[in-house]
Amino acid sequence: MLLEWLRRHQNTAVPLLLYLISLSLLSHRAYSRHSIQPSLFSRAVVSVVGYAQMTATGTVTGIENMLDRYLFLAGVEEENQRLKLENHRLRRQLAALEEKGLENERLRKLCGFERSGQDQWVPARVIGESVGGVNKVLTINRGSRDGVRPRMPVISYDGAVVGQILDEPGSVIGFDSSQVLLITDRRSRIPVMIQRPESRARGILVGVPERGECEMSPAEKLAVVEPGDLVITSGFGRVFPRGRPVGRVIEVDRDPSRLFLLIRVEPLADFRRLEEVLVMLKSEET
Amino acid sequence: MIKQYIGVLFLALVMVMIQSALLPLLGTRLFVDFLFVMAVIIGLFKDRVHGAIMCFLIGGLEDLVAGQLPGVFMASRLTVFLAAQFARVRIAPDTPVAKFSLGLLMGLVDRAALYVLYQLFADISPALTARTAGLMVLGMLINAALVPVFYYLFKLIPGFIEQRRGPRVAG
Repeated sequence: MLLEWLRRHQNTAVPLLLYLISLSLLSHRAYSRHSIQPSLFSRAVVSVVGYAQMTATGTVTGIENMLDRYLFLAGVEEENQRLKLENHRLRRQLAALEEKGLENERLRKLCGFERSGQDQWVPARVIGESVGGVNKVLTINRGSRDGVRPRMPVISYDGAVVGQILDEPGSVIGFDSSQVLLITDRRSRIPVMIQRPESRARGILVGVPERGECEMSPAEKLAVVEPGDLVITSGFGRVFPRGRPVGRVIEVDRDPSRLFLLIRVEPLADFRRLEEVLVMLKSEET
Repeated sequence: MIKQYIGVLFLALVMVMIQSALLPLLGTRLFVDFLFVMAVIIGLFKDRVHGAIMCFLIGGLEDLVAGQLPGVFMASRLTVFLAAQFARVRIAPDTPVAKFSLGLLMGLVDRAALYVLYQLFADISPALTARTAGLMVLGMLINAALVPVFYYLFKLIPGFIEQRRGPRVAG
């Protein structure tokens, strides 16, 4: 009876049924409080797309490298000189930092702080960007096979916070690929603080994708914050370890009608040029 | 028919790959959405049952790749497909200009559907600023321009676009 009715009204029934499926999927995932284990099928699809993205990115990067290596050799001499100078400068800095590290270690021992272990990182290559234009999500070539799990911190090679492994209802970590929720995504929430010693104002950093930046709020109204101040992770929430640089204050809105300050923050990581990132698999702090 | 489903899904996979991996490498950050264009073309040339299933599937693929709430693109692509089917009766999509106009109209339908779905199901809906609105309009124009191009791509899938026969001429 039902089948007969469906057959007769299939032009209406099929789209209606598909609508029902998609809307019920949406409402189930949107209002579900527990994270849902993605199916093997979803993981397989995401993995296939991930491999395809890796191939495409690899091909284009390979061509770019070849062009860079063999065709665009102009200015190599000057760049070489510049890199030599930079190398000298970095060596000096490294020596100073090693010295500071040793001093830090001695002080830790003096204060009775013990290191519980070392941070564990895995390097990853960016192989894709969000489709659809609404989200700020990157795809990287590391997945469950490499130990990547939801909410793991992701930073750039120069140490700036990039985001975290996507942990949204419906997000899927493939076998060899996963998605990174950038700090400029509207869904991103990171506990941060102002680095300046006389300030140390705390707040939550929220992404503003329309401007490609973030907003820090709420910060106490009397907090000492100036444009140019460095924003670092506060370590609250136990996702990001404390002290990782996130961005720089570009504007402080001291609107008297507001209870808190609204601080505009420009991310330190340059998402447009991001090619490689590091995923923190294990942190001694978190 | 199975060949057509496989063809559409394969094409969708290639498009997702280009959209998410290749376009960003070329520095393009416009709201170019190939799968939306595919949904419009499917709406123009497929019957309601098979077309709806195809759009549902490519929407699902887009949901997975975009890190989106699953179902958002499934529902929006389905809406675009049904709207395109409805509109094809009024706008005969025979010329490239007609296809472009239809693409533009469907772009508005798509944005409206996404807006409603975000309002209903997402905690945070995307805010509209002058810059994003400008980019969105530019993206819609590009997507609309891609409709006639995709028409020729879809011709590559065996039997997807049936050739219409002209009226019989007597004598």
